[in-house]
Amino acid sequence: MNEQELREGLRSEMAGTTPPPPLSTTAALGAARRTHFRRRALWASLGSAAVVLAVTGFAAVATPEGDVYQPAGHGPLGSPDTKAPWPTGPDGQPQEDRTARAGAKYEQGIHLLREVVSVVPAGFTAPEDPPNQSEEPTLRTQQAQFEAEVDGVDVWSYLTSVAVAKGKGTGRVIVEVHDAPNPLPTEPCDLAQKFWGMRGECRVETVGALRVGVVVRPGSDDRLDQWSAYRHPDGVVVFVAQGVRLDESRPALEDLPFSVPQLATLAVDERFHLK
Amino acid sequence: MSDRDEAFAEYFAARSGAMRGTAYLLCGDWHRAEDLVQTAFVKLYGVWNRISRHEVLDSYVRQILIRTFLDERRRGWWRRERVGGEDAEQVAPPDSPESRLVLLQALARVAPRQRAVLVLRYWEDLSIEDVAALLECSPGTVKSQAARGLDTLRGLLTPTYSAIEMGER
Repeated sequence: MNEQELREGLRSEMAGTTPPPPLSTTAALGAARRTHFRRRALWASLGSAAVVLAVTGFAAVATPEGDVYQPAGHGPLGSPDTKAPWPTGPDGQPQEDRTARAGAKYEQGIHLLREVVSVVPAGFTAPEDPPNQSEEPTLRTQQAQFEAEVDGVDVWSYLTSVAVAKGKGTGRVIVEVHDAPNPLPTEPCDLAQKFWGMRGECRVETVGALRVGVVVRPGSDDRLDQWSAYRHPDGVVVFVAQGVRLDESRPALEDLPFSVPQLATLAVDERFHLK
Repeated sequence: MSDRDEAFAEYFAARSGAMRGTAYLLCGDWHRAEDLVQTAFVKLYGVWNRISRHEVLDSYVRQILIRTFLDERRRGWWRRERVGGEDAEQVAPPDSPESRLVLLQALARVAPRQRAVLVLRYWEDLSIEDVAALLECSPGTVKSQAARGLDTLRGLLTPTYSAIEMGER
């Protein structure tokens, strides 16, 4: 394939895809306004010096030299708002996006984070982000996100990542929980192969009478080293993953925190069985 | 509605669809694409009144889109990583009835930075110099990343891609 063939191929294939309904202009404007005014209030509280720095810093980014760019793929102009609003938040307003930032679902995510921290094995620590840091947290993160509405019921998923450290190395443990009903497979290894679109060498571990899929070695996508997957009888799905590396800025762990049997056991652990 | 809100809404209605297409090519998932677009437009709203040259709006939004995408990938995981649904990271088998998606699925397996270069060069049709400026790298790096990305695509698509009648659908 040469450059021109790729160019034509992208246009041809994108023309054949079926995108979801157009983004809602009303929702986007509302989210932008809320974020903007919240940030303005924060900046005001930080004092005028910070504001000056922020504006100065912005200027280099916001006025890039450049021509008028026309992306090749033009969406429908002035399309009607057809997208359903996000679930209602605790303030009675639709959420800005899929992520819950307050309320019961958000608290459920916080609860899961605490539970994940509690299973970090002896010999490892779970470092925390510095308090009041301006950047988004990286060492302990959680998110509750709306997945879909099924038969009038909002279905959510919860994702938590906890950094685990030992010596000079820092890795991570991730737990992701999916509400029922969800479209995920039932067979243990089919289920495990669905995690984050990654695949790898899978085997079925038994925990008592329960069967858990565990990918013990990833394929070409090596963002994580091992992960287990279990579907509870009520349909709730739990993934537990571990990796020797948190990110590219830190040295990796020499050893993973959990053995394969331990990883399988954690997948069926009732502490992660959110209801 | 204020003048600012009105102008922003008009621009969003006109351009969010195209930006979502670019974001989809970057991340291979419509939901994540929507989140990338929303992030970019939220940031745009915050600086709307300070952009005196509104002809650079596309450039600004595209820049935020690309940087947010690369930053998410650099951090190794993200909120929007999804299970089930579209298996964007996997190449369809050669005999898949969904052969239409072979190229897009292969693109999703190209390294993120190379993928960004391919999308900007061959979807957005930006010049090498513009891509270099957007990615804050040299034109030589853009050329080498594009060449490596194309090589990767060729390897992923052979021999299935030859069966696709490109440009004739």
